[in-house]
Amino acid sequence: MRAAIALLLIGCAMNGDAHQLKNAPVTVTINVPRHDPKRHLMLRIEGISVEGEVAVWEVRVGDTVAGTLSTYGAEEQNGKFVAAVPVNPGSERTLRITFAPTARASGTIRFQRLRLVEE
Amino acid sequence: MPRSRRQFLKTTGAVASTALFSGPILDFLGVTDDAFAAAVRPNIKNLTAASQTIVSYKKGIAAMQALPPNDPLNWNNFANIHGIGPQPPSGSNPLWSTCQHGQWWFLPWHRMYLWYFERAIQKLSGDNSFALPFWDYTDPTQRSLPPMFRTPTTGNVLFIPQRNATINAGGQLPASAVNTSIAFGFTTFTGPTGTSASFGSQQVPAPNHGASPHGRLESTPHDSVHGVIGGFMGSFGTAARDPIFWLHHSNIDRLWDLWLTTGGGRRDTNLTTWCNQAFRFPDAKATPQGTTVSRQVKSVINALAQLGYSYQGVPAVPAQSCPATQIGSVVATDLSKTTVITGSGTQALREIPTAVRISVPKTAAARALKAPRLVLRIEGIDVTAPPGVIYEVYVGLPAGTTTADPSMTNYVGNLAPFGADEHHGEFVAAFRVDAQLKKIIDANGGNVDVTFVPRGPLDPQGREVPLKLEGNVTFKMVRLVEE
Repeated sequence: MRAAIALLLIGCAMNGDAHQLKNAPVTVTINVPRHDPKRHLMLRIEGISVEGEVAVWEVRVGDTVAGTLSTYGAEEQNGKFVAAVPVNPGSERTLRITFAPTARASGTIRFQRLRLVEE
Repeated sequence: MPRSRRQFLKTTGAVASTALFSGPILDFLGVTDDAFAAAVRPNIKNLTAASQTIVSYKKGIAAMQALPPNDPLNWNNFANIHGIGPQPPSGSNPLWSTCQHGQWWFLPWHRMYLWYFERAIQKLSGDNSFALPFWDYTDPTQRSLPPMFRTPTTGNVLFIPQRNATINAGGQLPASAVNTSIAFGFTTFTGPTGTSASFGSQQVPAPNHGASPHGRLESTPHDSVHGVIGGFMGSFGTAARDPIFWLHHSNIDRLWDLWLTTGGGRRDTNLTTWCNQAFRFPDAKATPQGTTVSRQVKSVINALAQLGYSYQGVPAVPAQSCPATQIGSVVATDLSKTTVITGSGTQALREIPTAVRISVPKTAAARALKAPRLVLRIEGIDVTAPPGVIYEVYVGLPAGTTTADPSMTNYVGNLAPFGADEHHGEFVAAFRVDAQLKKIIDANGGNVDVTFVPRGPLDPQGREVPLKLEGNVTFKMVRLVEE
C-alpha cells in the first residue's frame, strides 16, 4: 500500500519494444508532467537485461551527469532488473536523456522502458 | 593502530554504554577482546607493497587459497558466500550466495562480511593487528587501481588478470562512476518497497540476494566501480574472488560512516525488521576455526563500539540505535469505539481522543515488572502536513475518564510530530512509562491503554477552542519496550 503511494507514476516515455545500448550514445526525450517538487523525481530504467561484457554508462539529463547505469546484479534478475537515477527538471517540460558509455565494450544492454516516478 | 580493550572502553565509553547494551544479541557468540584489536582501517593511498598491512593481506590471502576447497575459510569458498558464479562449485552450502543487494540490508550485510574476512586475514596471516585498508577512489588522485594490485609479478596474489585490461594497466575510474555527492544528498537511510530515493536502499520484508532498484550509494559508486573494474568484479558470483573487492567494500562501508557524520537528519533506520535480521558467516576465530556464527544487524550498527574499528580520516560517528527487546504486543482495541488499524495498516489521530490497547502477556510480565526502564514507543509516525496540534499521551486512564490533563500521574508526555514530515513515515516518539505501567500490570500481565488527547492553541482568555487539524497524523505501531 505504501509502496503504491510512494511510487506515483507520473510519466512514461517509452513502451513496447526493447531498447538497446551498445557503445554509441543514445538520446531520448521524455515529457515531464506535473509533479510534487518536494518529492524525489526518479528516472527508472526498467526491464534491464545484459548480453556479454558491458560498460558502465553515464546517464545525462541535458548536459548534466545525473548518475550512472551499472548492470551489476542484473544477471540475477532475469530481465527484470531496474536502475534509477534522480533527476531535477527544474521548470523544464521535457528532458533530454542521454546514455553515454564510459568505455568501449562488446556486449549489449537492453531495457524495456523508461519512466519518471515520484518517490 | 591497535588498542587494548581497556583503552578502547576508556575512550569510547559513552558510545559503548548505549550501543553494546541496548538490547540482547540473542544469537551472537559475544564480542571478544580480540575484536577490538582491528582499530583504524587505513587509506591504501598511504601504503606500499612493503607496508606491514599489505604484507599481511597477501600472506592471509595466500593462506586462504592454500586451504582445502571445502574449508569454510578457503578463498573461493569464502567468495562463494557472496555468490557462486556461472560455473558453480559442486555440492551445496547454505551460506553460499547470501549477499544482500538492492535493499536495506546491503550495507550491514557487507559490513559483517568484511569484518569476518578481516578476522580470517588476521588469523591466517598471524597478524592480529591487521586492519583492512580502503580504496578512496573519490579522491581524484586515487582513481587508478592501487599499484600493488596491478603489478603482475609472480606470487603477487593481489593481481588477477580477470579485470578490465585498461584498469589493470593503470587506467582511471571515470569521475561519474565514483561520484558520492548525489548519494550523500539523500538524507533518509531507506524508503518504501520499490523505491530508490534513499541512501541505503529500499525496505523489504525478508533477505533478498538481488533486488532492485538499488539505493543511491549502492548505485553509485558501488555498482559503477564493480562495473568499471569488470571481470570477476562484474558479477555477484565472482566479485569476492578479486582482492580489490574487499578494499572497494571497505570504502563503501567508510562512506556509510561518513554519511552518518554529515548530519542533517542522516541516521540509520531503527525499524525492528531491519535491526533484528541475522546473517551467518564462518568465523576464523571461533573454535573450531571457521565455525558458522550468526550476527544481528543491531550488533553492527556502531562499527567502533561493536566491532572495534573506525576509518582513517572519518570524524566520530554518531551512535546509532535499535529498539530494545519488545515485551508487549499490539492488540489494537479501540476504547473509543472507532476502528483501529494496526499491523500492516496505520492508525490515524484525529481531533478527538484516540486510544489503543497493548496487551502484556503473562510470559513478559515478570520481565516488565523487574525492568529498570520501560519505554512506550510510537513508531512509523507520518504527517501529511504539520497538524497544528499536539497530542498529550496518557497511559492507563481509568475506564470512563472524560477529562484528562497533564497534572494526572497517567500523563507521560506530548506527541508533537515536529519534524515527522522529514522522516518519510519513520518518525518515532518515545515516552518513559515505568511508574504508570507497574501500577497497571501484575504477574499475570494485563492490558495497557494508551490514549492520545489532542491539544491546540487556547483563545486569549486561555479557553479551549474547537480544534481544526491542518494535517493528518498517522502511526503504524505502538510498542512497549524494555531499555
